[in-house]
Amino acid sequence: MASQTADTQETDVSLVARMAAGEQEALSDLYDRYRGVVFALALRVLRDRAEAEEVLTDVFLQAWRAAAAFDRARASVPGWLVMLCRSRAIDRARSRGRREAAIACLVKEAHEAHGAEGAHGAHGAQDPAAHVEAMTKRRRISAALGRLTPQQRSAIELAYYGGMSHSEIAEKLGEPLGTVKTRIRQGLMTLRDDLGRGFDAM
Amino acid sequence: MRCDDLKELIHLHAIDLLDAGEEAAIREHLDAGCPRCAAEMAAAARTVDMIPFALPEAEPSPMAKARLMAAVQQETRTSSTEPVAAHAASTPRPAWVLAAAASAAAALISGVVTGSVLMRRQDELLAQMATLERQVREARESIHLVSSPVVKVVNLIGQGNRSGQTARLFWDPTRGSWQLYTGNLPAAPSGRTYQLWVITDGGRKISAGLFSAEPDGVAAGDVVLPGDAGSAVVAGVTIEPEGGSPQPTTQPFLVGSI
Repeated sequence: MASQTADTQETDVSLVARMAAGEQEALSDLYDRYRGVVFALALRVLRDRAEAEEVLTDVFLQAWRAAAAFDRARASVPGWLVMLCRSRAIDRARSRGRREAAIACLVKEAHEAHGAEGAHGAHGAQDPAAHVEAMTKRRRISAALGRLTPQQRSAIELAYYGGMSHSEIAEKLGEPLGTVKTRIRQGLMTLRDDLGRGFDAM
Repeated sequence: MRCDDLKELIHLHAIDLLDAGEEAAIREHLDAGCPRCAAEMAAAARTVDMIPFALPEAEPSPMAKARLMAAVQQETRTSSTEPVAAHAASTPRPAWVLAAAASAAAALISGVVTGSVLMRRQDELLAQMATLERQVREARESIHLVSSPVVKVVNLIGQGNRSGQTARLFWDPTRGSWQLYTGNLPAAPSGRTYQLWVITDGGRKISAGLFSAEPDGVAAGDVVLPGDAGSAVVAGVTIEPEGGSPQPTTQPFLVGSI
């Protein structure tokens, strides 16, 4: 498993290098590999397929343009892509007046018990080995998030998907500001420790 | 700020929850050089990056990919634009279509293809074909306009405070078709459009159509002079309200003699 993951990392990095050299086929492959995750993230932030698709296209276009500047020491390729996606999606939610509606969905989910995470979702046009690896990664991270307290998890998700500030989160959850900060900090520390084993392999 | 203080903040920083003062304090600490804290920050950032991987993946429509590849191709084409004559003569060669076909073939050979892979490739290729057909039509028109002896070539020169701007017009008066290479023309102001005029020896101003400053620098349209109009002597471009005007409402800022 570990060597497979190292292979994926190497493939990702070489795809980006080829993109930097102008190979559109490499972009096509990278898109196929990560469109599922990037689109899912955009959807979670924007709650609208058309908007999420525009962000998806923007993200990979940005990745194409910035491929030469990608630094493997600073982030993994999928980490880089979701980072690009999150900021674009949050900006877009703000500028399109979708922010309130999107946040309302997140807050509602935060108040409900977390539903079934088992849904498969579509998988991209990946070869079977890459698909299995993606599923394993998803299960692992999902499990790690599941080990946080529900309050920690909700606060983190509001911050991440909603781009909300402390005070906004505190207000929406009806909690004191200091409590929210502590929960997010401790939740992320736990996640870091939990995922830290074999972290470099991701 | 000491390293211990920073530890409290790195995770919040990674999820963009710090205020400006706290951000600045972290910046300062790192700029002073602290590899241990820099490593902690990197680890925190990577943790946060993992959060969306817990989501079930979602499938976008094939059009999203078609739009992406078309945009990339457009960028690549624009950045390698050559002088007008060469540009008109070259046929677009979309490397990615060939590459996509090649990789679909490779997937077949390696036996790792599934039905969904082929269907997606097909959708992408179909979308690209529509774009390509349009491009071939435009390229053929370009070739005709540049090479035919009946075609008028007009260098449009910027007037007054637009004196740096130029554009080149190719017009076939017998068929009516024209192409305008818009060069360094900026986009028209919001709510307004560019309008091309043909002015006759009798002083009549005949609209040749509206256009915008195109990303790849070519606008196209057509105009045929009415039989009683006399001969065309001047071409000009004005800025008109969106939707155009029956007669120019401003002085042409680009003018050339035909």
